Amino acid sequence: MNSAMLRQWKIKGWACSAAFAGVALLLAASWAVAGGRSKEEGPAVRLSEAPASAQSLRNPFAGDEKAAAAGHKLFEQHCASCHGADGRGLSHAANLHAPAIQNAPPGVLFWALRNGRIRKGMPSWSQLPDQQLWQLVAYLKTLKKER
Amino acid sequence: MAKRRSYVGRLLLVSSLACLVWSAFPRSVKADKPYFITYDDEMEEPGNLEVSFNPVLGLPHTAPNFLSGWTEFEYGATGWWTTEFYLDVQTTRGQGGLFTGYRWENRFHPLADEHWINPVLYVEFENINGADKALAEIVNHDSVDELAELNDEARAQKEREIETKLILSSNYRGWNFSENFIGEKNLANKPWEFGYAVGVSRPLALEASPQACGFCRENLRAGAEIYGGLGTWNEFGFRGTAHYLGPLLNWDLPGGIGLRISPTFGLNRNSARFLIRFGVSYEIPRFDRIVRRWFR
Repeated sequence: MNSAMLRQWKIKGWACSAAFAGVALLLAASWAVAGGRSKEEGPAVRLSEAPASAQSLRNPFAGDEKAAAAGHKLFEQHCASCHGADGRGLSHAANLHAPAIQNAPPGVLFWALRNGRIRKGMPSWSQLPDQQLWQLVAYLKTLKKER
Repeated sequence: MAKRRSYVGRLLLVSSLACLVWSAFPRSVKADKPYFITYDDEMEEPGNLEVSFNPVLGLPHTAPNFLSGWTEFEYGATGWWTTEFYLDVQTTRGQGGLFTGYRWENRFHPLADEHWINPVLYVEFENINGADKALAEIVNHDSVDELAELNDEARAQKEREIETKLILSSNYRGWNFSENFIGEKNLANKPWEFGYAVGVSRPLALEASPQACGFCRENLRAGAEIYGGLGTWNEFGFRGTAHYLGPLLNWDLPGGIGLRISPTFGLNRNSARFLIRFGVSYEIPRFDRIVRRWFR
């Protein structure tokens, strides 16, 4: 076996090992991360960290039943898989009926949706247009009546 | 006749299995961007798995037509880490088809909050051969001449590469603007190769309608992307590089299915004349929970 062939085999072996080690590491890490979340973490949104400018934002759809209905549809599409169809939270996701969320100003909820808390598993929903985020906030506020 | 019957039988079996799998998983509606090449700052939701098929029909003017593409498995490991595994295939007119390799990419969202410009870091390991025609990124002096190489000869060339990207993305009034700067290094002793991709897109309606609907404007997103090579470390610039431009359309159907299309035009003589990119994707929400249930 000449040195060029040997080198080629070494590279091939290295690449295969790296790929398999990477996949194994990835699966283990994702398993650990997904399995490690607990209910004790509490709400993933950090409402208390919202900037003052968010407090004063007003929902352009406040009191609009059609907007709340659209928000309900968006909730089912994007949020229900973690927060549950009734919004009471599954596993690590926050219970959206909780007073901390229901008593929060609409602008703070809008900020929380837009920023998420990606270190705790709550994704940022900034890819949704602002109008749809406000429709979601309008829906979230209707949950107060169901408490 | 018997052969045809067996083909129909297999097709029915595969369709039935696909329907069964589709009905077994919970469904959501996606809100994906229509980009094929450009990445934005959107990460896969934690625990979700997205499977997509992305065929590319290539009509280069100086090489045989081809159908290539990749199958992609995208998993949200955490809110800030998305990982994807790709399998690439191609078939070229008169030369048959072949598996051309795999790619494994990881994207990291380093900042916790939303900003005017949101950076995402991207690292990928590629183990493909020279016959790969997915054109998933254009770097260096990649040109249409490489598409003319015979599959039997091109497949012998191994390309083991590390690809890095700096992804910058902004969301403003429903618009998304994304810019990618690509640096690729062959693990053999070759210089760094560079490329770029830029995309812009917007949903056709910013407000959601209260009724459940499939073909409504809020589920459609249109845009455009441009991408191309920027030479190498030793020879940086546009000279001798290929560039492509294409309009984009994405349709998110209820049930977690997304459809995308992009007729793409080569912008200079180094580029393939015309490509049509298609994409079909299916998102399985909370795949992690489903897997855990299997092993309980």
